[in-house]
Amino acid sequence: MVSFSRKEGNKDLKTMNLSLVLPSVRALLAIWLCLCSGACVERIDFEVERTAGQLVVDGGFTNEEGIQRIRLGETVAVVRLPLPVEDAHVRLYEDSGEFEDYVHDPEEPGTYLLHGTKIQGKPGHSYFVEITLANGRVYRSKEEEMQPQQAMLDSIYYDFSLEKEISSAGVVIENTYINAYIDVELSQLDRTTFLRWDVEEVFLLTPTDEPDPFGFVPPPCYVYQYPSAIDLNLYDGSVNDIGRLEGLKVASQVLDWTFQEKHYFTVKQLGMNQEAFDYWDNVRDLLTNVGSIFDTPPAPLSGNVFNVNDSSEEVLGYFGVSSVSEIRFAVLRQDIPLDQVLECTYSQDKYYLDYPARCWDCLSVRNSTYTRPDFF
Amino acid sequence: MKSTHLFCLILICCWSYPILGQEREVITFGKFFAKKGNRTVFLQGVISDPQSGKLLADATIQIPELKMGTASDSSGKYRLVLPVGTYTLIVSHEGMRTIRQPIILYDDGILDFGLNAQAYTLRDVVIESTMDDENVSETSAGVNKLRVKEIRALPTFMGEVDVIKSLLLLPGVSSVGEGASGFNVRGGRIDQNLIQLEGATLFNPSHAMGFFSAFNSDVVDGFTLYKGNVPAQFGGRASSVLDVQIRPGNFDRFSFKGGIGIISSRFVAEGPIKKGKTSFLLGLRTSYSDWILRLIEQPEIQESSASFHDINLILNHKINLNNTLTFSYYRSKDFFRYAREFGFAYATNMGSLVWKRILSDKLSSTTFAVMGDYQSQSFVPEGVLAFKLDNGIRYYQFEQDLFFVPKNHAIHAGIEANLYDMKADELNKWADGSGIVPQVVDKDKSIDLAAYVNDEWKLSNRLSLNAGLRYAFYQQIGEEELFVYEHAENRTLLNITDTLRFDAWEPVHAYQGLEPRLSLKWQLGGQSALKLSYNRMNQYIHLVSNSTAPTPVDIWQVSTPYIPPQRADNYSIGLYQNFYQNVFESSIEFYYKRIANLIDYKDFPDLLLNNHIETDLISGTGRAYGGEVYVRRKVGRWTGWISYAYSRSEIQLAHDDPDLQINSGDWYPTSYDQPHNLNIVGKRQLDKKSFFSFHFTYRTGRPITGLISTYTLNNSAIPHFSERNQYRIPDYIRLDLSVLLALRTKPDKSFDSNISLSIYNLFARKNAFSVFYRRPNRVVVPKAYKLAVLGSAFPSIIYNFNF
Repeated sequence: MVSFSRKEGNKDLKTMNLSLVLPSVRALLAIWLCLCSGACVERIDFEVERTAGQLVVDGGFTNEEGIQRIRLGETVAVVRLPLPVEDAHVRLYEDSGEFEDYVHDPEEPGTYLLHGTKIQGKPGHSYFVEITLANGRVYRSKEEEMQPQQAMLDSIYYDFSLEKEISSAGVVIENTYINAYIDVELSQLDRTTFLRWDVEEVFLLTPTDEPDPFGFVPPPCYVYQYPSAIDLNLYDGSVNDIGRLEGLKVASQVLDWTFQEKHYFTVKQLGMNQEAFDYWDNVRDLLTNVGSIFDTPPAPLSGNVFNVNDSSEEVLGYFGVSSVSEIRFAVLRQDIPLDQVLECTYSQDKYYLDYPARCWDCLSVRNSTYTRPDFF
Repeated sequence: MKSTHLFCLILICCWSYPILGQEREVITFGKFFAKKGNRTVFLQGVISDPQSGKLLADATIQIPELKMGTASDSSGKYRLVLPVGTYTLIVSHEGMRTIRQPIILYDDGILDFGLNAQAYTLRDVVIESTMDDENVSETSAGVNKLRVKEIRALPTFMGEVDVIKSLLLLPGVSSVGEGASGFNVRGGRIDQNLIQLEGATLFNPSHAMGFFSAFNSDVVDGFTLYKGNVPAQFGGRASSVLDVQIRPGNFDRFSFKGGIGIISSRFVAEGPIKKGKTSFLLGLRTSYSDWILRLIEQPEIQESSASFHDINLILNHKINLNNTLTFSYYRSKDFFRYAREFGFAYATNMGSLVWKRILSDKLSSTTFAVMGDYQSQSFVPEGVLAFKLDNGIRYYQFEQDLFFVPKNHAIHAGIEANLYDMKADELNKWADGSGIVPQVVDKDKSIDLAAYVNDEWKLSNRLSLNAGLRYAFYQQIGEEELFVYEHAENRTLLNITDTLRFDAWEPVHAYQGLEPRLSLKWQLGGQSALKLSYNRMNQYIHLVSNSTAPTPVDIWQVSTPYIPPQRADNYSIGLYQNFYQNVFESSIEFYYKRIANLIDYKDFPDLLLNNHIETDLISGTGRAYGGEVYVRRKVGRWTGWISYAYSRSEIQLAHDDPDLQINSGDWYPTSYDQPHNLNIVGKRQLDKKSFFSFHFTYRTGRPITGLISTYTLNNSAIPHFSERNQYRIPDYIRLDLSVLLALRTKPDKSFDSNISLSIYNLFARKNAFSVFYRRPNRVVVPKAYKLAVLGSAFPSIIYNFNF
């Protein structure tokens, strides 16, 4: 992972986040451990008093066309993700005074959709969201200006690598990885430009077509998957002056069953302001901690959403406003250097249970849908 | 028959001669008419080996008439407070001829002894009879001394006899775990310890990120840790002083010693440059652990490299009977590189010159000058952002000390000056083609001046006083660009209103302060004493870190207008009791420490390449308190000690502005707060030179910030953490074993060797260094994991030789 980051944007005040100096905390951990090769990491039961009832805001507003989403949740006092908040009223405001309400999506509890009938994201304009819960509490995000896209996503490409890893059983195994890279033209950037590159993968999953008297062919699924934020790629224009960035690795994925059919990698480049950048930089700090002495001490992470009537209430998440450009490539089955068997293809010699469950019900795979993406 | 008895009697007399000692002429101090009432006087001096010129530590001086005695310190010095009278001093040291010296004391006096090596080795029983009561007779509270021979008896890690690790066995001293630099004393931070190598300040006492200490055990003579009362000669740190003494080279003959281990070796050569006049001692230590890395079946680790080395050079020159000159040079360097991805290095270079003069029988002078340099570098050798980042500190020390011994007093008075020149943070391309923009962030410079006087005063037979006063003046100097903030306390980049520029050496900001030091000893009986002490200490240089534990790449920062000096007030009370003629010694101590202007970091700080570091730091109030119990058996087949410490360390960052509060302004534990700490150390003598030893330790797990909920954001699970340091990792328990086996020695004792076998962490207990969170495969909610740095038992072997 290559990463750039910086906290402050003042031209004369030079700072650099430790993550630039220590680009791979995991690498540090490894050398630390190799000094004492008896080191080990193991799971433990670690009891804490978990907090409940905190509002979580997950979403943002961009200049992309189409439906935009915001998810609302509430933390629970057990080890699980927040419960969806379904009965809120959510409204987006533009600095022009225009506003548009989100609509709750009953198929995805806690998700609210903005159809963009009144507001389209425009760089240079500012936006914020207001959330009113059923209990009357009102929350608002800090107003953020949509930054223009100054960097140009030039090209995207991939290669394969063979990497040795140690399995959970302690055995050295070799895995083939596909690595995605981008080239970015940065020469037009100024020192207040902050970028984040997100990767979205979509692959086709065709279920098993068992012959039946009605000739029914099950529809294929399109499965979305997202690399962990641990691989967040951030760029801080105030401390870097590269001109052109070549070969920035934005994703690395093991060649597994998800590559049996067409598999897309989409890289989205988000231009954001410094506050949003700082937030994501801190997210990365939290996610890259591996327990070593080099870890950034964890801390509660404050976002940009606040309770209008009680500023001391802690609200989790972030509502970001950013401009987006994207670039993508597809990998076909014949492109990969492995001879993979199409495990869902029907065969008379296979019993029902010989197929993975996903071959019978492709919607059972997390983040799958029958809706075909436009580019697919 | 009679002739047989006579022969036996003569034989016994001959054998016992060295034990009974060499009787000498009576020496008289003062004049008879000086005697007034039942008064006490001081007798002090130095005990040395006249053949080698070596000063003898742990030589014992007994006064049978009073049934008391003492032992010489690491510099061979001893000091007795005696009633006026006539006595016989019995001066002895292992392997030396014992001296019996009659004296008549009317007044204070100085009496040096030279002990010659003897043909016959003292039997254990003789050694055992020479027990001192230093812990009781010492005026100051909270002082621990260990000699190298005691450290050698302790189990080792990777075969290296280690000063810092031995410190951790003492009550009130702890560390946050294996692999972390430095140590914590009585709830203090690691930067609150003044670490001096023969008087010169050492900024990083660790090799290999804390797995080894920076001290070569064959060069070190011993150390003294002042954790309670700190004499006024020492200053500049808020918590403790570790005074490490190195030994001079042999003035009469060449000798060599060393050890060969599996990942490191050491070697020491010493001898006369001009016999009896000038000596040298050269110590070398180096590691060669890369061969172990090559054995690990992981390509990244096979491509990695880790090493360290250090060098000690000591030159001693006796100008004449009253003047000696010592030059000392120390260099250490550490290097780490992980594959081709990342690395760092750090190094210390330090030279000192010491001129000791005896001006009269009651006055001596020590003039001391040091020039030191500490630098660290982080680097990434490959990639579009290949870089190297350098920083460090250059420092100069000067001290003039006078030691005056009038009646009933031992007075140190002197002046001290320190110049700290922080090196600029410099970011450079590792090689052409790197996209890094070179940056230089200038750092600060300061001078501190101090004057002190310290008097150890025997007020009566029962009451002794150690009182001192230190005045320190601190000046930050240019060249400097100082930001002016609209709100001086809530400093952010957005409220900078002006920038003040200062030329080189121009005064920027000053602090000053008086530091009283007081320790009172009330002798309750022959073997017990009650001690009280109060100290104030100011600290003008701070280690700032944004990692969970101290690392070699942490930054030293001098005080500025926005980073005021830490000011510590330390109170302690202790009861010291020895039993069975000092065979057992014990103590119980309580302390309370309050620290003003203790700095901590804001959440998610940026500390590197930062010329406005004050925006990421907050000053608060610290407090530490606790009690320590210590019981030690000093002689016998089994020796050792048990120590238990209850210690709390907390900090409060309270402010009207919520942005400057941590944990809502409430007190919270520091990351090194470990309430319970138990150490049991035992040594069993197998024969004259071989022994078995063990060490058991238990301590409470250190505080951490816990994960209290998880939510998703942008399709990733984001951990949400508690307020700072609200939870603790599991407790730490470890047992180590060690056996030292003496090998056959040449009849003329010209070659001596042994093998040391150790097992570190015998139970292979996976002690948690930290608890962190991560997502197991295909699980969304992060789970808790513990990292055990040493998850297995570590056997080691080292071959030591001496010829």
